[in-house]
Amino acid sequence: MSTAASCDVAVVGAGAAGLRAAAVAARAGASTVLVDAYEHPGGQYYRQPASTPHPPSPTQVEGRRLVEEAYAAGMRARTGTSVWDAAAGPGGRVTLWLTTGDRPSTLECGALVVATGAHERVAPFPGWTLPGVYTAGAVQALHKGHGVAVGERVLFAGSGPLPLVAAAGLLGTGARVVEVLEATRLARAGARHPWATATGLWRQGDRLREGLGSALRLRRAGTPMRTGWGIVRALGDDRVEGAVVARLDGDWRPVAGTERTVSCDAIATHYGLVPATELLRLLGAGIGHRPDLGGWVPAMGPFMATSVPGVFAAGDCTGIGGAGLSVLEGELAGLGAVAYALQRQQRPGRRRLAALRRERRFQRLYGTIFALRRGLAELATAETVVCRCEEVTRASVGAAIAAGARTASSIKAVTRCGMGPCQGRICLPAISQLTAAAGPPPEARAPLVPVPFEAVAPCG
Amino acid sequence: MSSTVEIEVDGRPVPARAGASVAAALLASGRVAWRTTASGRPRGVFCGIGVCHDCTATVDSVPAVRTCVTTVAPGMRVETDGGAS
Repeated sequence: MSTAASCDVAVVGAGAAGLRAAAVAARAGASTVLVDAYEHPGGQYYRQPASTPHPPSPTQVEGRRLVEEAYAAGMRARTGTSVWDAAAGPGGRVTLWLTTGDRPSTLECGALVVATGAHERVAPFPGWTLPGVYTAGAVQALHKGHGVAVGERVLFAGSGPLPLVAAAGLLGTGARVVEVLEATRLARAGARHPWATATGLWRQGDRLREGLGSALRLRRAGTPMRTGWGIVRALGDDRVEGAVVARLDGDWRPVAGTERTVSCDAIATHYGLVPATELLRLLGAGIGHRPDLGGWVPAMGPFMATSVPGVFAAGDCTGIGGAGLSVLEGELAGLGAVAYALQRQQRPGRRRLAALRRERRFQRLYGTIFALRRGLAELATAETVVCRCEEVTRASVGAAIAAGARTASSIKAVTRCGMGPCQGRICLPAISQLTAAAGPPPEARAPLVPVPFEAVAPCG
Repeated sequence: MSSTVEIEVDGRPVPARAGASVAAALLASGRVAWRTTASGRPRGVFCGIGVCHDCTATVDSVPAVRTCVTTVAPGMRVETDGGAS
């Protein structure tokens, strides 16, 4: 049943970093296979639908170019394919166990580039499990990729650039953006870190234009945008009917007396991104906790090498930094993988390293300005479900912590928090904020994604 | 104009834009929830990119399919367990 294949360089994840890694590796003469879970290469940022209800955005045009370049360089793509297990062998070769729909296969490679990106961070608040509460990214994906507006009156509340851009994207669809609430007081945060702001924004005109352009379009549409405000709870019985919002203090705690009710039929929430490190953790890569980079991230060496020989990593899964940084890291990791697999020395290139330094300054600024504050972890009340899959309440998690659980892993063992089909991707980042210390990263175990039984235990 | 395909949701025909996800088709048909949790609570789409597994349904007899990352196909049969709506 299972088919085996091998290549010089395998790349997992077809976003900005993975596409560049694959293109660079293939152009250098390595047989290169790009594995991606979605039907079309492009990832979340470039969002490549085969058919779209809208004219493609500049970002999508750029994404299409990167996809075409990678194919032209000779990369082969295995789309619709997920990695559910992986092992680094003694000879330095890496084996990936894959599933395409319900078809299992294996892929053995001389070097691996992990470019698995990130997913959104969400904070449990009362009512966040009601239908009609979405991540800001879901709202954007449903609109941009599938032509559906999630509601008629949509409230955006959270932190980071994505909610702003997603909200502006809804204008002109018939949906009304009722308010956009940003927990961070941006002007104050910028003024407090003038050096990081000035150096971080140096030569970032496109990004500024995207952010300011979104804000401008929302303002023209008459949408209230408030910084230092946030959601306190969602209202409704079986679906969203409104929300309670409040002014937040510097720690993101609601200021008493400022609460008010907003009428809406959909809520988009988002508190930055979480690096997707499951595959790296499964392979045993050294991981450290860096809140400024989004949480647990791999320790990185030259050419984006991880601590596991032959395993490289690039893009948001190594720390949230956006598409510009991902492209450069992907190229470096691709070169590193070629050097490792073909034993052929590569040069990083001076201009690439200069661009990398510029993007890292922006990454630092992003991490500084949009740092999470303590109040976020206090929104959930005792009966609020924190693990959506297993429906574990804040009270159960609190009891586990009171009984001595100190890490996300021990809370998971006691409460089942993070044992559902999402494998803790949604709840564990929030859980780790409830514990005093970050502790070691939660263990990653195969299968990383649900797989048919036959893939794990082939008959015959 | 993009073309339309017809899928079947819980035995009823539902039009969907070709290339759209099953979740998008369900939302466009006016539903916000189509799964019921163990405790009886309704769920629909949440993350929209295949991470959270909230939006699952049985698609062409395969259970627990993530509808947000599954593209509609003509004649596709989607069975939900209600979602309390």
